[in-house]
Amino acid sequence: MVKVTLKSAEGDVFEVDEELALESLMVKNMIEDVGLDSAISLPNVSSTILAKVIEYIKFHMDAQKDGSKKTSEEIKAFDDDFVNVGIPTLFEMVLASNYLNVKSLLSLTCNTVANMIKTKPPAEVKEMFTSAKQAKA
Amino acid sequence: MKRILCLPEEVLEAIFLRLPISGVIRVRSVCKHWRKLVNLPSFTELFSDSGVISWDAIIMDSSTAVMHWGGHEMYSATFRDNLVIAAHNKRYYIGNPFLGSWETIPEVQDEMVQFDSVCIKGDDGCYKLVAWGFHNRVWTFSRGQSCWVEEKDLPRSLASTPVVFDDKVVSINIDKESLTIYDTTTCEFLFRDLSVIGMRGQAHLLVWEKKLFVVATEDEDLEGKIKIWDITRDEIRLEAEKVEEKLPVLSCFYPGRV
Repeated sequence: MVKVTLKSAEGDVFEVDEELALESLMVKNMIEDVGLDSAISLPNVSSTILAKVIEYIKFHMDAQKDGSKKTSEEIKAFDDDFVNVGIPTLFEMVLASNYLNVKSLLSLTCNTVANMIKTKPPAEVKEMFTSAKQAKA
Repeated sequence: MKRILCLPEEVLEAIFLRLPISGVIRVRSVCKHWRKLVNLPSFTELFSDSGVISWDAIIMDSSTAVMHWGGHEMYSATFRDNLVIAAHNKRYYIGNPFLGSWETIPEVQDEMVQFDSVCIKGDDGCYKLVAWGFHNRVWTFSRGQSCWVEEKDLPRSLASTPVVFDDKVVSINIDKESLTIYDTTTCEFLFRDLSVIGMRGQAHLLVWEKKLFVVATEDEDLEGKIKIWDITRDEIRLEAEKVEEKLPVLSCFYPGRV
């Protein structure tokens, strides 16, 4: 199995299967452009978030494989648990999935944010986004 | 001053597209930048929400947020395009009730046109209204026009309440067993024979999940055997039939739920 080396913002190195790395359309384009010889640098993604993204892709790839015994309930439970994080982490995952262009994760995280804001009054939505910015700064 | 987190516009758009109409209204008040984003034509074209409007002027969106419409009468609505027609003190308005934006429209100069037989095609930026009178007279009104225009003389017949399907407005001529199709892009009429269905009683049209159906009764009264035909394609297919005593065809069920 061909391996791809991904390098986070902090410079931590993650070695993953090529099949997994290609789920990120951004990484896929990078591989097509520069090949597999050197590590792929992802300066916009922290180690914590990159590890989460890899965990997400790996779970869904395994779940889709033939012979997978995962039920749709189990997959949903994984997704629910995966986005059950603080707002700053959630926002970082939105940004990372957008940057890395992982469509399914972007959809999951955007749905989560939409569900959080859909019934909140504007002032609370503003507060939510302001605190996320402060936590990030 | 606290500034709110700037997510890239495409990400904000992806989030806003997943909101119900009432949620979009709320985020408009968060900041100027967000208001600008949801007002962009690129956003309104993509946004859709399945709203329900009842006759006593209650509007409900997909998150079941409810809006009451006091004092106004509601006439017609296509929530796919996020517009409804409302009346107040004999003046007619078109607009999006959740956004509270309204424009006055003139009255149709034909007493036989009820406002519940007006179809709306388009969005807030550019819309076209098609009014289909009971005797098969068709009037159109586009945004910016000063009055309604009658489209060429169609043969008088018993026309059903029209529906919007793709870019077309469609009505059945029950006595002639045919379909009159008005193409809103070319402004031309097309006709289609429906005699195979055998509409001896009542018939009306229904759009459901991108398909066009005719719901027809076999008997002249409103009771008896109801047949639902799929007329989306050239080939006419019987989708379902149901014998239901005392079920008025006008309170019809949707084919997907039969």
